[in-house]
Amino acid sequence: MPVEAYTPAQVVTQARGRLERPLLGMVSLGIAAFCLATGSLVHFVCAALAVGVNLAVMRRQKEVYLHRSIVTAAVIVATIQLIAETVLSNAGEATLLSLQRYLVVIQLCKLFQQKGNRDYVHLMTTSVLLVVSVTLECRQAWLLPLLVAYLALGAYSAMAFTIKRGLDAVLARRLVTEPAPPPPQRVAWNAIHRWPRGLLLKRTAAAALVLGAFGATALVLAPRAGGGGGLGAVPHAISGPGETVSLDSPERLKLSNEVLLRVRPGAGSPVPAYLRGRVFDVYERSRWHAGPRETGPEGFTSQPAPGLPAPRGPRSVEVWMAAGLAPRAYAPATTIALGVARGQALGKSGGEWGLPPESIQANAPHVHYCAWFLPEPVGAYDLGRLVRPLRREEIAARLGRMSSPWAYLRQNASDREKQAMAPALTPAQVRAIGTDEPLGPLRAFQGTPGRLSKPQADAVAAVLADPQYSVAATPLVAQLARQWCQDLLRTPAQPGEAWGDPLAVAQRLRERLTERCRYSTDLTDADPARDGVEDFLFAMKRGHCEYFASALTVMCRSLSIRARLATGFAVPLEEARGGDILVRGRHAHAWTEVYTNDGRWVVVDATPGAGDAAEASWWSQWADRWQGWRFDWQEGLWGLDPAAQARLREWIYDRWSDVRAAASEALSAVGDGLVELTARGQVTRAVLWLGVAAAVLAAAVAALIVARALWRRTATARRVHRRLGRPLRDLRFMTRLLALLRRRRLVRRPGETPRDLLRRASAALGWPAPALTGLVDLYYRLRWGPPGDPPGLPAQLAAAERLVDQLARGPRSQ
Amino acid sequence: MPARVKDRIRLHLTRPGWVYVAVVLLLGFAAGRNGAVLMFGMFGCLIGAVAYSAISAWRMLRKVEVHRELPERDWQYRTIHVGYYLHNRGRGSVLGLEVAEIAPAGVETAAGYGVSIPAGGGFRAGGRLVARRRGRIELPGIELRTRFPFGLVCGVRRVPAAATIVIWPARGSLRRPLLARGAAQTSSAAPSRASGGQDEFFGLREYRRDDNPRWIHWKRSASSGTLVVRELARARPEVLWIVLDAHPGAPGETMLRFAATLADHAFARGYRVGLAMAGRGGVKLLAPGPGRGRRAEVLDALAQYEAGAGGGLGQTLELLRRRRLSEAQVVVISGEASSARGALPRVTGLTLIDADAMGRAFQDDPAAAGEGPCP
Repeated sequence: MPVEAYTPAQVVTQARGRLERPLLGMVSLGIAAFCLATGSLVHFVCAALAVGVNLAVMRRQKEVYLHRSIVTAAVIVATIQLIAETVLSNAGEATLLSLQRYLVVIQLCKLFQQKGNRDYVHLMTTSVLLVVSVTLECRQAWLLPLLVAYLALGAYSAMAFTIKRGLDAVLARRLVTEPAPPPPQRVAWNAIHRWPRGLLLKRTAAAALVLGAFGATALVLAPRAGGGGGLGAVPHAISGPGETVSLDSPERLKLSNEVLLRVRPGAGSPVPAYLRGRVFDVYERSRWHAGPRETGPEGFTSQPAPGLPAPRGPRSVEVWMAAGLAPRAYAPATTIALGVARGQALGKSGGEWGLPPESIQANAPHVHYCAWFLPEPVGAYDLGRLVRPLRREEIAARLGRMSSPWAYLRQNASDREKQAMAPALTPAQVRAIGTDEPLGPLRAFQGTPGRLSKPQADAVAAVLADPQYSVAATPLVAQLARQWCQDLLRTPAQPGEAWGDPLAVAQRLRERLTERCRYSTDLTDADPARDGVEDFLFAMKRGHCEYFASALTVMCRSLSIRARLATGFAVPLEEARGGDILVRGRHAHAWTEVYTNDGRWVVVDATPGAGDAAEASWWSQWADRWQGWRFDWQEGLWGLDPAAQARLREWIYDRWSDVRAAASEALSAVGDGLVELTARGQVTRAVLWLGVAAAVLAAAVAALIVARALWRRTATARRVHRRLGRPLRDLRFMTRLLALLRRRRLVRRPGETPRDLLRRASAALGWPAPALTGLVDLYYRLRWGPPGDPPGLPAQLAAAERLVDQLARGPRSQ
Repeated sequence: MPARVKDRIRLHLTRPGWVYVAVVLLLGFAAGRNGAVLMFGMFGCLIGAVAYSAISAWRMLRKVEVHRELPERDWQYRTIHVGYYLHNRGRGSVLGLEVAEIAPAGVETAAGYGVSIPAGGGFRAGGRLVARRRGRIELPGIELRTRFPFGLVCGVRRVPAAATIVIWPARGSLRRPLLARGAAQTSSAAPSRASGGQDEFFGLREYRRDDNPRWIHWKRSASSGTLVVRELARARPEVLWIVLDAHPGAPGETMLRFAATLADHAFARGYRVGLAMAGRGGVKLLAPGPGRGRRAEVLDALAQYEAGAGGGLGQTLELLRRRRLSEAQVVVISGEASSARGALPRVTGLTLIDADAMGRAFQDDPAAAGEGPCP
């Protein structure tokens, strides 16, 4: 019987491939991580060649190695080079790079050395050190899957090596009376019958899970307050809304999949349709410019989309933004306050803010902020009423550096903005804003929100009369606008007054635009010498969002309707993910905001079918997921600062407290119910639920037991079938015979073969020895014989079954 | 009496494990200092390897049952093969398991190794041990060890499994043929009453199937008309008395090894071997007898011999009746020939082996000869 198993056992003890194959994979991954992080192609090619040669030779059950002196000389040279580079170089990063190269060279040398157990340990150690050093400087998202694979391979290699080392130790053990260690095959027969590949794979999976859990915990708890120390890489330039809108350079449009923002609407806030980053008021010669004053006294008002009921009260949106993006606050409306959780945000006028480059280097590549905006079309005099509860309840706790929105305004509002607020404020109040006085004087201003006061309207008119806000619409464009809205226009009573209902006119223009022009990013036939809007409307008749928004805005302004161009992002609602929305580079958008008669800035998006692109391929879907995951990786890697860690701890503690309280409450309810049941015989709701839960649990457990038993039975049958190459039912006669013997109190002893057992049974029970020998022979033939069915197997099996039946009926009479 | 073994599991870091932990802690310290978040994650993974090693070792050892298959007797300085049947009662597999005896003083062991034991399965591992001392050795238990999965943590479980093995004195070889003639060729006494031997004529009987045709007595067969065969009597075995005079000053261990070697030779040649020796408990007398049982008794007595003032050679010989000695071959093994000669009775077939004669007649076991006194 054991003869077939003898040779594999001997082979197993000497096979190197079982260890070296995963070890080579581990080494390859480590060097690949280094090469990807540093971009070193030479090392990658050398490592690939070395590993390839080793693998090819290993397939032939041989080993390739150089003379030990050559390898030693190479190691010495590499060491000298490392020392020289370390001494000559002062920079820490250069030293780290030298050390990494040294580790790679050492591994390459070891690959061409005659390897013993110590060399395997050296290989694994240097590989792990190389990967650890790579994690010191590289923080790219691709490193994580590579690390997971590396850990799995490393775990498998270490396990295989532990087994090999144990076998080697047993093989080398020599007792005092033995002139030499026992022969390997003898030890092997007593130590291993076959290589436990499946078991090792299971263990590797378990180890990877445990190691991953520990690693994730360490990642969460890692101290991040110490600063990057110059290790943080400035993210590369990323696409998004530009600083300017220019229709004469169409080739600058870039649509990337890179995730730029993660947006989380605040409590009670609807998901915004648009995130406005900048508004433009002045259009001349195909270019849009921001006016000298983007926000007037009514600039605090905005509305996400037409037709929606205007929510009252302040709203908030939480944004994680890639720091490489144009540094401004992206919010559904003009921001009145900005809370920056991380980074050195500097507020500017008009809701803009900036991030100094040095703060980007020393901090995370993401900026996390909370923007507060007022969705209601309110005047400046309402701010005091609305801001007060905001300051008390939320802002003071969350904004950190900002004591109040008024402080923000006081610090960042320009003189012109303060002057623009003058019609609504008394000189003393203006002085109060301009000085360090608190906002006490503003409390007196309690007005009706949603309506412009006369002074405000006058101020707006004055602003619009400013020649800087004029829009240079060509006569052709203005004529086309009047032609499209002819039925909606009326003669204005005075200059600057709108020619009709702004919203109706804007909607009409939008409809006509979408009918006349189509969306396209192919602008090769654009004429740079011509006005961009005119060229778009009369020549190209196709363009992207900036063309549509520009055309609509210019046409509105040609009809004396207050409108402006806004750039930012159209929020992709389909990218919503558990309350968060991922905004990518390709979601950069431009639209028009029209000022209505009731004092609102209403978004009118003239771009047709911008989102009706062809259905995304599976590759682009995966690319999108990868980019989203990359953003989360960066955020998770950097974003868990001490405050976030504290919040996480608090959240875990709260959930735990909730669970504990709920369990305590449920237990007390059940206890009270049981008391009621025993004392008064009344079944309370809690006891009823307890009974139902117990019944469900019992049913689930029973189902689990049955399913497990069935699964085990089939799994055993499958395993036996796979191993024996024949179904388990062929061996049923032996199973029955052994069960019969167990009933006769003849149990198989440890190490006893079936033949020995049946010989013992024959002697003890008086069963016919030749018949039992025939059964054992058949059993041995089926289990360890050559593959395939022996001739006449069904008849033999039937005879064996009959014999077992006879033995079961009257074994002593046989 | 060896200390009682408690069934418990101990975990400790191996030497590579200590180095590993030190290096990993250094890496963690460096990661914390530099704010390298990802490196800190790697630090967690590497620490997790230690934790996983400990958990895995503890879980594996907890559910393993071990049964030992050990011979009852064996020779000193001979490799004794021990079988271990390992049964895994747990749900998970067991990998890289070492199994060895908890060796008392004077016993050297080589562990058995089982690479894998699947859940619910068993495995037969083989270990070895060598006893450097004779006598009854109590084995208190079995030690299960594993360094799986990463060799960083060693889990040790000591399973109480008391067993006893009697170690006979080391067997050497006889240079001089003290038992020159085998018992089968030296039948000087009356033929025995048992047939089937090669000695004198015993009788005739009918030919049976499988009988050697050369045994057929053709003359009688021709006269009787049926095949009959000759039967020869089985030779009565010779008797060997081994008298041991191991007084405290004598090279006692060598004498014991010589006596054991001589007894073993004699039993192998069919002798009936008796033993007389004086030890701490007085004179021990084992009447001559054949067979494996008597051989075991004689060698057991030699194995458990304890020197002491139990009586001298004269007192030992007095207990032996002269007639018994006269019918047997007597080998007196004594450390001091001068004192022994005076006490020897005048019987034929008596051989006195003193230290010098023992050196000429006996080749000691090389491993035993290099050792000091018995531990």
